[in-house]
Amino acid sequence: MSSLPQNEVIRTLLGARARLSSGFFLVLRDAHLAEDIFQEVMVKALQHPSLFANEAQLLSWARAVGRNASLNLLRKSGRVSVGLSESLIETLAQEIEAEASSGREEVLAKCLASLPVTARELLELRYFHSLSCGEIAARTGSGLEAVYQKLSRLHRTLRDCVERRLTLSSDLP
Amino acid sequence: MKLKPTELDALLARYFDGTLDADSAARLTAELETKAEARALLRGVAEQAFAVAEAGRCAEARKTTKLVAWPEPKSATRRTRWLISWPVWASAALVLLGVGLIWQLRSPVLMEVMQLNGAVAWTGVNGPAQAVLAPGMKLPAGTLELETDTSQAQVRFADGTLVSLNGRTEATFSQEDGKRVRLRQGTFSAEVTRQPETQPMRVFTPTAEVVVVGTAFSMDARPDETSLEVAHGEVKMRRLVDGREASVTNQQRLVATLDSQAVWSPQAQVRPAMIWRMQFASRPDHVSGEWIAPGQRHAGGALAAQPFVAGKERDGRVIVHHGVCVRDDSGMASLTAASELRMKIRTTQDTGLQLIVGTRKPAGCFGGNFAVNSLSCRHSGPEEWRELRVPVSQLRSITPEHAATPEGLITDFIILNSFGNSAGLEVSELSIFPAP
Repeated sequence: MSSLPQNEVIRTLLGARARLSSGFFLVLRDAHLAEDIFQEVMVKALQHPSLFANEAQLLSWARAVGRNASLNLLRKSGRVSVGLSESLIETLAQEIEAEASSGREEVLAKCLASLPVTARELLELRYFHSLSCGEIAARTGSGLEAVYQKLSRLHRTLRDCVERRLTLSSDLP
Repeated sequence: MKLKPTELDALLARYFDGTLDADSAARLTAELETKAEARALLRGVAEQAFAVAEAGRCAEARKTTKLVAWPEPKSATRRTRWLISWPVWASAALVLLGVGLIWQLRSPVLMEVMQLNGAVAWTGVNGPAQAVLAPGMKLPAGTLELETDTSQAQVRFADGTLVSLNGRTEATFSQEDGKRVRLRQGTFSAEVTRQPETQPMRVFTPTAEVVVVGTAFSMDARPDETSLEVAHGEVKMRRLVDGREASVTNQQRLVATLDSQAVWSPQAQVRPAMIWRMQFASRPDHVSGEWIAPGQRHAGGALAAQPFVAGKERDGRVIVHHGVCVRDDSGMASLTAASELRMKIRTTQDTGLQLIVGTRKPAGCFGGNFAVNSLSCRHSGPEEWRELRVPVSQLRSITPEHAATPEGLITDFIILNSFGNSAGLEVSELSIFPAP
């Protein structure tokens, strides 16, 4: 059985980076830890290149290894364990993979850039600086509920923006 | 009962915040297990969170790698220039040329200095130590000592044999029945022209003896281990612990240790992967810096900067920088145009940083040293780590006689330092990845 060459392993994983990392984020709820797990998956994949006969096999392996590593990390860090079941996480990861469409990440980046500065700052505090909603509330002088509501509104705005732009681009001749 | 969209949004916000109670978690799980649209919302938030973090990382990387963003301390600028600028040596050489000429008359010339970078000293067999060397100087038998991790020297024998020394290396050269090199420690590579069969070149290390008739090869010697890599031709290696010999040929590698039970057969050289990562959960080998065990100041372990000699002034005073150095003699990662060096760091004060990357060619010989001198790091809190990302394209050669860019070369060592400023620099992870 022939296996994927090293550069194909890297190309495939980098191509699926946002989707894989989003799946790990579902478990970890921390974008930087999700990125760390993705890097760990890449290192492991290159240690065992003969395991993968094709891209689908590699991605399926990466999802499983990353999910297990995320759950282990969560357990080790002693963080709040109220979370999703493993079967639900797997379903979500498969759906993320299935809905991958070309240009989705670029569209999302454009939608993010179109947000007002204050809205982007709130998202950055939450997902780039990894502050909890309670910490953001304390820092901005808002109530906790207000932070939850603002974040929910922003997520809805971004979701609508992505869908609108994708629909528009698919309608173009 | 189906949740209203606003209720679902609120549950998702609490789930990602880690503040969902058990009852709410059960309601959310039931909704997600049965409703595809609920799962789509969850996936959307995850996708957006990752995109926000990614945009932040890219912005941070742009800020920290801006080449003129951080004013280096005056002394650091001067020292860096000194460290990387061999023409300064050349001017010093003019002063010493007269001394060198007299010196040559006393002892037969063995080789000529071709290139120098960083602090390199020469001690003749019976002559005085020379703190300052320069390209073009003719040297008799004696010892070359490279005093820093970034030092580099190249010498040429009269028959065209070219020898390069890199990093902290000490080697004594002499001529008996053939060229003799006693490599006490460090990295040595040579392109050896055809030597007379009865007068081969011999290299001695603490654990091995190597016999060369004509070939290109490189060696790395430590007190307990010598590794040999042959680019082309054939080299004979004898392990001193038991006297066993082996021939090492094209693209092969052999390691001689003090363990007579260790494997003793040449192996094919393996080009390292394009990905490499080092964390500090356990005490690492071949690093300079103070190891901080997990749990002391950081859950995962780290390496703290220590003072090291970065170079020497003309009057012999040492230039001290503070930093960490990680070395892997078998090569860390193969570099491509898309490679990115990533460092998770923190400092106790705002500081400028210098990154130096040492490389070798795929066949094993010295590839060149590269640096970025104007990185910066803002003071961070006790548990706040910053990630610096430096694309390979931003590295500039500090050994201009060698490769202009590190693309296609293999990383041998990485040094990250805060110049002469002890800024409490700590590193929790170093890695090399292809940029997304």
